[in-house]
Amino acid sequence: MFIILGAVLFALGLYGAFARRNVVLKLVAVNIASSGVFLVVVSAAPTLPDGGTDPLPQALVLTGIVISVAVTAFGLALARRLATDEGRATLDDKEDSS
Amino acid sequence: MSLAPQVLPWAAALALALPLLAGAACFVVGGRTAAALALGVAVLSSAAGLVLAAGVADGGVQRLALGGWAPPLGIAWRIDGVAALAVALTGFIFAAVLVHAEKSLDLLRGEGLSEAFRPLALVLLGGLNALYMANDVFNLYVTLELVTLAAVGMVALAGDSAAALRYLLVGVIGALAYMLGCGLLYAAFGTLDLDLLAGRVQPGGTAGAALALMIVGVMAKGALFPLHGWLPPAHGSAVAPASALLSGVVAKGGFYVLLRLWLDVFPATGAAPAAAQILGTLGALAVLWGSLQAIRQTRLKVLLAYSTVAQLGYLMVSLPLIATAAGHASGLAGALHLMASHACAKAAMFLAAGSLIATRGHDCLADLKGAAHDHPMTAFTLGLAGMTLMGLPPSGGFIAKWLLLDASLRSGQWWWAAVILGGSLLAGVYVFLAVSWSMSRPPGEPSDSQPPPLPRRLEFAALALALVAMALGLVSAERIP
Amino acid sequence: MSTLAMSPLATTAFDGTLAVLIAWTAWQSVTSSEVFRAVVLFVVFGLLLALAWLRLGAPDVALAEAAVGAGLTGVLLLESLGHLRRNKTVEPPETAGRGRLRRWAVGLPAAVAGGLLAMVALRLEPRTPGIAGLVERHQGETGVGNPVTAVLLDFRSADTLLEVVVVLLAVIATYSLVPHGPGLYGPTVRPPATLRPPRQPVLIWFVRRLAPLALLVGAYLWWVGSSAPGGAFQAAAVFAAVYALLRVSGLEAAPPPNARPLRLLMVAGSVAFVCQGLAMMAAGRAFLDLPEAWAYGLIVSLEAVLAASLAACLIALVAGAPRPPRLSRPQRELP
Repeated sequence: MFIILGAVLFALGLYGAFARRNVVLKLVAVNIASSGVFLVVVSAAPTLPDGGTDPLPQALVLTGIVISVAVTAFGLALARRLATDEGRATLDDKEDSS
Repeated sequence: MSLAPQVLPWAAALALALPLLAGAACFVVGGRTAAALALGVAVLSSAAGLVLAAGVADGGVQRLALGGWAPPLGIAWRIDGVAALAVALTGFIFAAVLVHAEKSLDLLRGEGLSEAFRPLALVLLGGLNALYMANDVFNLYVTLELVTLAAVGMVALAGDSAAALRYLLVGVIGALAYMLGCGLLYAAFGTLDLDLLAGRVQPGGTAGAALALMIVGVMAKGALFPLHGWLPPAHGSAVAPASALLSGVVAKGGFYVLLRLWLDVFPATGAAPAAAQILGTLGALAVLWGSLQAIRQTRLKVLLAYSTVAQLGYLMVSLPLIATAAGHASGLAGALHLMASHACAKAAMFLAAGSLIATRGHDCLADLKGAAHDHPMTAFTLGLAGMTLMGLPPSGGFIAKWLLLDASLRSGQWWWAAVILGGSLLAGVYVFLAVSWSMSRPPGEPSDSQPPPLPRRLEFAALALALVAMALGLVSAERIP
Repeated sequence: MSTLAMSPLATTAFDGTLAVLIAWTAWQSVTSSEVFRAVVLFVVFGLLLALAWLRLGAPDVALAEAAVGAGLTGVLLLESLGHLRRNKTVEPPETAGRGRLRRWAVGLPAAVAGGLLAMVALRLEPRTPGIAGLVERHQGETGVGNPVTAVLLDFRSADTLLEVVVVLLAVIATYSLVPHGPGLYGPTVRPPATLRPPRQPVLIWFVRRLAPLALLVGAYLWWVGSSAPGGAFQAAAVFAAVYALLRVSGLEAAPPPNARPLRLLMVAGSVAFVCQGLAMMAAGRAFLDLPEAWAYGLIVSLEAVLAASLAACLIALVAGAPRPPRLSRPQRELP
């Protein structure tokens, strides 16, 4: 069940990252997509014979969470700089089609 | 002469540790001490790469278990000839760029910019060295993130937050796709180590999907066509020394990871031939599109950035050649030669552009008239490095393209040869555009508007890189089949 | 927790409800037309997700999600939102036709990607057991009782080392955004202007009493991390959250970004980690290779340094990029 939830979150996040124009919203969406990825990574791994959860994917996800908070923080700092310099919090249509 | 057994692990560990420690130090202290430290560490990192290369030549490919735990429990580094030479060449390019940056950044915008540049560059160097040696798909993910974050920080130095943000967002989404692939590989095959994966991966949907995700991820990070859209604004707007590092070195990081996956894991999936044709076609489009865009540009740095998109395309074109038995050796050698010679040449051209910006304050091609008259060495550097982009003999680019042509003819895929030749012609056009403006005489007599002289070290740093790009061709001339 | 005794039917019902709630908050957050609402929903989403991690038997991740994913990211988002509001920047309205086109053009590929992912992830083939057995066998040699901590700080410490550097790098990159002056990005730089809310006695009374308690919780998380869920990252996030609380209550100004002691503390984690790795080599072992007899002590003391250092980094990230004294439009950059 959580695999499907992960895939749904990944799709929602991808949608938001490209469809939203406000940078803060784009970053929120990227964080939702990464939560989806983390869910898939942990719940796709085979369960242990004793019913426990494999510690390795958990460690990978912990690393992923910390990296994503660091990247988000820098992205927000860039968004603030963009707002201060150019008075906007969006990326132009033409530009964000990448 | 053989090295003591302890030397190689030390060289590898220091190639990571020294740049990280120096980067931390340069965050705390500034000034001349920090400048000397940064330069010294870049040189030492390059030396460590040479030691590693000697070790590999001596005892073959080396595997180092980090933390003393062998895979699959722990993480191993694998140091082969390519990784060792990549460490050596990267350290050298960083050293040249740091020499340039110390002067040109301060000329451009007063003191302080070079101080912000230093820690970013050093952490980037450490991250790249870790990337070259990593042999674990998740460890590669962490190094890719480190490299991307440092690279985005460098783009942001110039003040173009929009370009930096776009780069960051594409990088993060690429990383997510890559990490998904890692998770699927572990769930299906129980390991993240590349060597072990090579033995365990079986053809099937899981392996195919995981690798597709990872390849899309590194293509986004490495600006491989069609996910290249963020590169020209980012590399075109960054300060010139940052562009030199990004276009010269960082841009190859994505393809480097792609190549590792391609050589180790892909053969076992059975999907290589089909994937190779798709990626090769994308590469051909990149060559065409990047070159045509480069020809249309009016600013030198943006022209160079589009040229990078095109040159990365050649690397993708090498994949269908590598995938065949007949073209494997030449194709791989060609791709590696292209990475090395383009790294030096493109870094040299961006540094030369930076020198011109430092004196003239801009890089609009139409207003560069007379630059060759005022700064002959810088104009010579542009031309010399341009020869590598075009693939003229005896440059490193010539050897690379010769090898690729050889591989495409050997493997009976003449159409890739057509792409390579056509791309070289287009490269000739945009290099001519880049150089001819500076060669043309200014309209009036420039006696009253003599620009300020350039500090010698700016010109020498760029020239050294262009000379190495040329020398790469000379030292490997015997490889011509 | 997975140990809770529930009938299978109740478990399934609970999981199903939870999954639907999570997906719903995510959907609302992604489609909300108001930025503030999207951010608040994202925090709720994170807290619900922490519950899901508990259900998946991953309490370490649950703690991290609650503290770092929802808590700290939420604080960062709200902090930026305040700043962006002051600059009068909002999500621009789109014309209806264009907006619809955009939604479909992005939505369809995203839905297809999600569907394919679910298909692949549900039908993984083959299923080779991972390294859990190896972790169990060798965990004794690390001295720590929590297998996740053993993986993070011993078996795969190379990942964690680079991850700590990533956090430091985020601070370095953020600080490099200041317009540049002489000296470490300039003595002209002062801490970012804090939005000083009116002092509210009740809030201050509450925060004064809560802060020491929260610090204690952070210290406990660090200490317990070696044997139970927790660890340096979760502890650091709690410390940073305390700082954010002090900040909203107007008690604490931003740290001066040029203060050398603070910068030293920020780099201490990465430096200690690298130096520990090199010291092991000097002792004749591999890079980052901890000797069995010392492993426990080394891991716990390294985690203490990491907790303090990461907390400093995260606090700096919450405070954001320093700003120059005059808030003028910086001159346009040269090409």
